[in-house]
Amino acid sequence: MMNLKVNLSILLFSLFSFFCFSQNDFFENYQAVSSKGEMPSVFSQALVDESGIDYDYYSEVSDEKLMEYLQYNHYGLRSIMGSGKILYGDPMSEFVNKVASKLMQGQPDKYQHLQFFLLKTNYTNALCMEPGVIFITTGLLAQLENEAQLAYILAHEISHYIEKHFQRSYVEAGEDIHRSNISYEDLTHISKEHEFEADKGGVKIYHEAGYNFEDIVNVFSVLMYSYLPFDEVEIDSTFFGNETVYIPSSLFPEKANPILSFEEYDDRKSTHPNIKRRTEAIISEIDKLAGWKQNKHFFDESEFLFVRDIARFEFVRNDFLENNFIEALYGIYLLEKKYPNNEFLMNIKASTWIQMSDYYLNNRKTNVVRGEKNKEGNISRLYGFFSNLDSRDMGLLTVRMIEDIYNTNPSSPLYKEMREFAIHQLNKARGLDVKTLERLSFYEALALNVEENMEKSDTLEVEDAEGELSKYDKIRNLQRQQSSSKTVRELVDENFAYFLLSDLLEGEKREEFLEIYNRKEEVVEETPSRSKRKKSKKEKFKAEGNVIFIGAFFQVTSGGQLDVGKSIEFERLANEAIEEQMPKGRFDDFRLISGEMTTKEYNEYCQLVDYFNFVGEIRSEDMVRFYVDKERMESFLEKRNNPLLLLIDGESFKPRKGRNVVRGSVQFIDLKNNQVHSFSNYRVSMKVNKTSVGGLIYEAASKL
Amino acid sequence: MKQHQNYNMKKIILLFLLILFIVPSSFGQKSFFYGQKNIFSVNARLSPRLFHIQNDNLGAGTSGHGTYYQNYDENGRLKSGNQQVNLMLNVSYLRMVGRKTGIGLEFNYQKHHLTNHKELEYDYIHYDVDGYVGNNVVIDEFTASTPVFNMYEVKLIAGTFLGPNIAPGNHLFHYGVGFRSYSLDQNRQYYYDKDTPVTHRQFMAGYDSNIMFLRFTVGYTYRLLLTKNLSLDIGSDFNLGGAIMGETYSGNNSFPQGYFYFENKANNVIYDRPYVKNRLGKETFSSMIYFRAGLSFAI
Repeated sequence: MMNLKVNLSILLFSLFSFFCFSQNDFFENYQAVSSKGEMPSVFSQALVDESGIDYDYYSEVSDEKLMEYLQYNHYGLRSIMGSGKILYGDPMSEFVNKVASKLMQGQPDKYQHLQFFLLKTNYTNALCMEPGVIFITTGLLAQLENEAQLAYILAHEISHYIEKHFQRSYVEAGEDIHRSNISYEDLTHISKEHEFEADKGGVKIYHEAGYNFEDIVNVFSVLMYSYLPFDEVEIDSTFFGNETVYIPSSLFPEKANPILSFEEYDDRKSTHPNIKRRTEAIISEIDKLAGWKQNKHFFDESEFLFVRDIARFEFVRNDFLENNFIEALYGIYLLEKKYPNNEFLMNIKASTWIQMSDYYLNNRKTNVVRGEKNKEGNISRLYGFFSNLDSRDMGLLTVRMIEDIYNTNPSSPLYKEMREFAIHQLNKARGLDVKTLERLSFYEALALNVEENMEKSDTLEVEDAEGELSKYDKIRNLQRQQSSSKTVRELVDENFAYFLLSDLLEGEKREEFLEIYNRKEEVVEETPSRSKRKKSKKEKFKAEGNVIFIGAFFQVTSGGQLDVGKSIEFERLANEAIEEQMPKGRFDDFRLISGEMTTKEYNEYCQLVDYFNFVGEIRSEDMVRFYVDKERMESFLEKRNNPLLLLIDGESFKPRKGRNVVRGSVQFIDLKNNQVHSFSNYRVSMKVNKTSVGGLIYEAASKL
Repeated sequence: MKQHQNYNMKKIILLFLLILFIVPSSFGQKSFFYGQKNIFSVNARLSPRLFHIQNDNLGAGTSGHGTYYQNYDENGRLKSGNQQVNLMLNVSYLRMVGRKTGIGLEFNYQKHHLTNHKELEYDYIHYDVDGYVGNNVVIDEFTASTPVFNMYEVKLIAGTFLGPNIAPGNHLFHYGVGFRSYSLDQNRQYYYDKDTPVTHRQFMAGYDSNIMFLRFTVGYTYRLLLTKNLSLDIGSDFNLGGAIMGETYSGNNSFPQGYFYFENKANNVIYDRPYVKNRLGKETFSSMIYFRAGLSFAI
């Protein structure tokens, strides 16, 4: 009875909160998802702070090993929390928290120690770390079919926490590591046992919450096929969004590559057992439990679909940021069926086409279609299509795609810039004379051709009666002849691209098109003379503006293994040196160590990480103009004077011969012009100490 | 099949690393350890006197181990000894001009005993007026003081820091070229024998002019950091030869001219210039190796 009341209240609350805003409005004005509310303390909390250690919880680890274990966890957790990929307080995280609270309603004492976060990545994964921090990836959420499947994934991870698998793995691995004949298979066996246990414990938690058992089995299928896009839809003519253009189906492979995944893959080198073994074990667990209920949802189904769509929007964005262009286009194609003319999707689509075309027209097509042979399912046909497309046709098709997007909102400066760029880029297409592009679309030319053929036979019949034709009939005949003479190409698939821009070559638009095409480069950078090049090399780099410090990564290895304790020591010394050496006024510390960061600052940090991710992947600096979150980035940059991103990384190791080495690099990225100033020759033969680490920080501080 | 690949925590952690390490373009710029471009060093150099210890073509007999020298103390007592090594004091300055290269100046000072020959004696046979050999064979022992020189050297050095470490780092390889100047230590009193002090003019021909050599060296220094700025230097220098400056003398001039001093004291000196210059040249160019240790301070 009590449970029923709780369920009802959760349901009512969720419905109320859900209908407070409209989903359509949300997606119409969609922007990359960001965190909300207060920043959780786990971001800045040090697990190794002795005052906060819950000794009862760490019962599996001996007292002597506890600090080492905590350091190990601390290091891992910090790497993830500092990745700029974590979300909290957003609709997805809120929903995950709600489902988790439903699962744990019978164990509130344990629930209070758990924290749930979304991790923005397309990898399909969920993981549990100490102290009870559970991550669900947006990639996983995008793939799931319903709330029950999410509930099972969460239950599985919660079970890892309850069973203290992290601690047990650490202890068991620690014992085994001393055995000289330990094999990788042995070590992963420990992990597989834990997975079986977590499956078993997860089923129990899931069952107690009242979800159905079918979705436990279904979730394994979801996981098995999660390397495929989040939906499998055949590609049809709507992919290119313009029914009036002719795209030959002959460019697509006839059949999609088969989907090869099977349940019984060899799992000897995997930390998780294969799906068949897991499913069999789970079914036996399901059978042991009685009183299964049939609930797929405790919260409104539309709420799950809503957060899943957010995850899917993020999925597309991640693909875009990571240069998985074809995946991004396919994801947009899937989402546009539900959200047509969505500005967020169109922005990504336009930028994706521009970048793909940039790769093609600069002889880097392989970067776009790499991995074509290994693709499975419908997306393999899309890969086949782009693989068959040559760079000239790609350039023309891109202009077509951008033109259509531009026409939806001609006042958009971004679309206008993209349009002009795409047209101008045609200059790079080999063997293309734009004056020979057709003024009829392929279909129009085809229709005219058919009509002409028919009329030819008519003309033969009436030729003799020419003299009897009226003046207007004669004019019409003449027009037809002139019209047909517009088409000089054979109407075959190979020539399809010549017909793509017919609307741009008529009337005023033609003048504009040719003007853009022939426009001279605004900035023509001449190759500097040798003496000038030498001079510029001698110029010293000095960071004049605001310095935004977003990343520092320090790692110490000994004997090839990560030494977590020393890595933390490295970081501590670096932080001291940063504190000591960096000028206070124009140094914006965007790391998470201070604990004083606000959610607004954290979101800016995530934005910078995304931007940096994008900049790292693009082929040329020109493409920075077409970053999808350009406006937000620009408003961030405007607040700062000539901002530079600062990244520092350092490592220490002992070579097989010789003394300990500390080395590292410092990079300043000028956000205005995307120029990278790299100082990567820092290396000293010293142990990790104040002098060696301070020297690395000096590399950065001396440039300010 | 691929699910297990995706289901991999390491990849998630690696995301952050990937973000850090991907950069579109970069160009290296000069940077130094704590921006240190000026290196000041003080060293002591030890050179074992290997080659001229043994019998050489400049003199008869052997000098045993080390360099034989003799001089007289304040009470007129003859003191002699074998000097095994030369000790040289060195200060240097190196300025970094490239990412790994530097140029600088080096000054050296050494108190230098000319190598003498222990038990050097001359069987001085007297002939009578008819040309017959008489019985009055006189054996003269060589009892004169050994000249002591102040040696100054100034060298231009060009160094390269080797290995992957940031400069100024551990391994410094350097070339040097410079002048070495010997001048007689005129603060000393020299003797013909214990009873006969001599003036500097009588003692050495051209006593007040320096004897100059041009010398090329190559060296290696290992800089072991003690603190941020201070390091312990250990290294060695090798002689690559050079040139004699000013007048050159052929022949070995095996004996100090002083043996004829008996005959004509007024016109002769104990050490004539060809002998001294050739002798010093020999010692300069045959001091093949210097070992050294010291401290350097970099800012």
